[in-house]
Amino acid sequence: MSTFLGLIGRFERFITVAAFALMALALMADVVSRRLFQTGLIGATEIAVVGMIAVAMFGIGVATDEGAHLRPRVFDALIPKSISGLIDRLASLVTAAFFILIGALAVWVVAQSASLGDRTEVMRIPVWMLQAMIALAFITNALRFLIYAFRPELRPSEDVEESAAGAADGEAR
Amino acid sequence: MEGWILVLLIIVLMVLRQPVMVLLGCAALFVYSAYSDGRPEYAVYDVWFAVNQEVLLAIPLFVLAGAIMSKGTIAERIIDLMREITRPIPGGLALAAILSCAGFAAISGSAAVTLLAVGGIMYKALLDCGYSKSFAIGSLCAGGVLGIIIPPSIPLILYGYITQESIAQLFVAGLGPAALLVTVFAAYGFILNFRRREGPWRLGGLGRALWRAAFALPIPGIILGGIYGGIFTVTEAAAVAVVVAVLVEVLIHRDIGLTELKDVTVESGKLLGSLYPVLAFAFSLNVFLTAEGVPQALVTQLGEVIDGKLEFLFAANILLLLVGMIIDVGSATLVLAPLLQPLAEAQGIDPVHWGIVMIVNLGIGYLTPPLGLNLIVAMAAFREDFWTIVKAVLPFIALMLAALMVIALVPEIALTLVEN
Repeated sequence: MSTFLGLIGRFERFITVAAFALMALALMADVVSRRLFQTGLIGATEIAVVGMIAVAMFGIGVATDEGAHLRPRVFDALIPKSISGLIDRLASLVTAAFFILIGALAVWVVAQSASLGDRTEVMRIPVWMLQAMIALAFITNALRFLIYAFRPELRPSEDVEESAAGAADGEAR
Repeated sequence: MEGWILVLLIIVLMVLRQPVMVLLGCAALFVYSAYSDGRPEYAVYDVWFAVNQEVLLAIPLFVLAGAIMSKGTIAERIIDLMREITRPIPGGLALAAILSCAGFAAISGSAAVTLLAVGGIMYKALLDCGYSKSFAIGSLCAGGVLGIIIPPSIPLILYGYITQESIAQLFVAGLGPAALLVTVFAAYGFILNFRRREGPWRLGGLGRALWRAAFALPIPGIILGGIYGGIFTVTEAAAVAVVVAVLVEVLIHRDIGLTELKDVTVESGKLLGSLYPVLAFAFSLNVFLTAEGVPQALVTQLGEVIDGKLEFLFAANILLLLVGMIIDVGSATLVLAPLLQPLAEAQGIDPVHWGIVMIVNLGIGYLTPPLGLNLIVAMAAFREDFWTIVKAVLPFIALMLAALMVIALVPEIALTLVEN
């Protein structure tokens, strides 16, 4: 199980780094091209947006791996310590159920886009390919939380400090 | 009836330790199932539309740029320079701390990152020079909040995105209020530490600090000058910031290697992975509420209760202060901005001005117990207990509240530069 989690984690981190590079380079190339040749690069922004979708969606898994999802903690004190472990398992199961449901809906949306043959405006990339990242991200997270429900020791502890440093200025509460 | 079921569902999910993303996602699925002919897949379409937006490109790139710069030595170099510049001024090191926060805020866009980057160095320096622990903690925690007010600011981008206001205008509007806050913090530091000074200017030290910061200092100018000089858009400025950060930290300063660069990028991906699903589901709820005419109905209903601009500003600011105490700035902005902005506009408040008031107000939430983010970060960064930090930030909360009142009542502070 931990090998499987490690593998999908490595895959998502790789995609995240590559997508960041793609985003920055595409936009920078667009700026440089416009300054030097008075014309922007066709499709640069669209490529950058593809990179952002990848970062946004695969980043969910990276955040899950490090317990960095923002969580309200106002009711934590209500749970007796004696059943805290049980609640943690239940929490993982509920999160997994949510991801399964939203993942299934995402698969349906991807199938719809594929059957309609939708493409992006500039680069003519099939939309379903991009939407598939959403479905894949939800499904991998569903698997993660299912594993956490049955093997709670594999669930990462919530990383308050790291999340706190979140540049988005969200926090782990 | 459905409304109460939704509230109950959210409470149960909160008791079951669900992340904000799941709370908002379930709320979106619920409303689309209950009210929109049972079409929960609309929530997924909304997620797709939310992440497939060019305007959002600036967020991950500013996050990455800030992360690279805080990993390297840009913050340290800015601090050294500020220390040298403020040496002969009474309370100079306090002023240097505030100015360093402001300087780093102009490249990071985040309150917690600013606090960590500057506080990590300045806290010990302030204590070593005899400044009280309470002042050191308070000034750095409050200075960190400048990170979300001075452009580039991630919460301002979120506000602009969710309310369709110009992000470039919001950035300009943040400058006046940020200058006011810097002045207020600096004046407080000056009065409290009047007898402390480090000594006269040292030409050698100043020259050395200037030389060391030679590549760090122009970065805010490149980012903001590029945007307002019409050279690039806010989104492109974010990409330029990343490239400049990599060039300066990896190639010029050589403080970060490629492995560390990869780690910083993954770290940024983690932070964005916790933000984007929240943003996407909040967007989904917003789409639903707008389609159902909820903001308009709210404007009509509250318009009958709230009589005038002052009453609205008072009530809305109290609400935001309470919300800021328990919800993070990003989530609060995404959920409340679409509801409060039409109300503000109906009262004759400029939406850009309202955006700034909202972000300054929610910024105070970084300092308020029980869940202020900068309090939690400071606990870890300064190794102090929670209540020591809470007591230390109290005077700064009072200063920020006073400044917020002025910013809310005098729109020119935010709008003068926008109008010009």
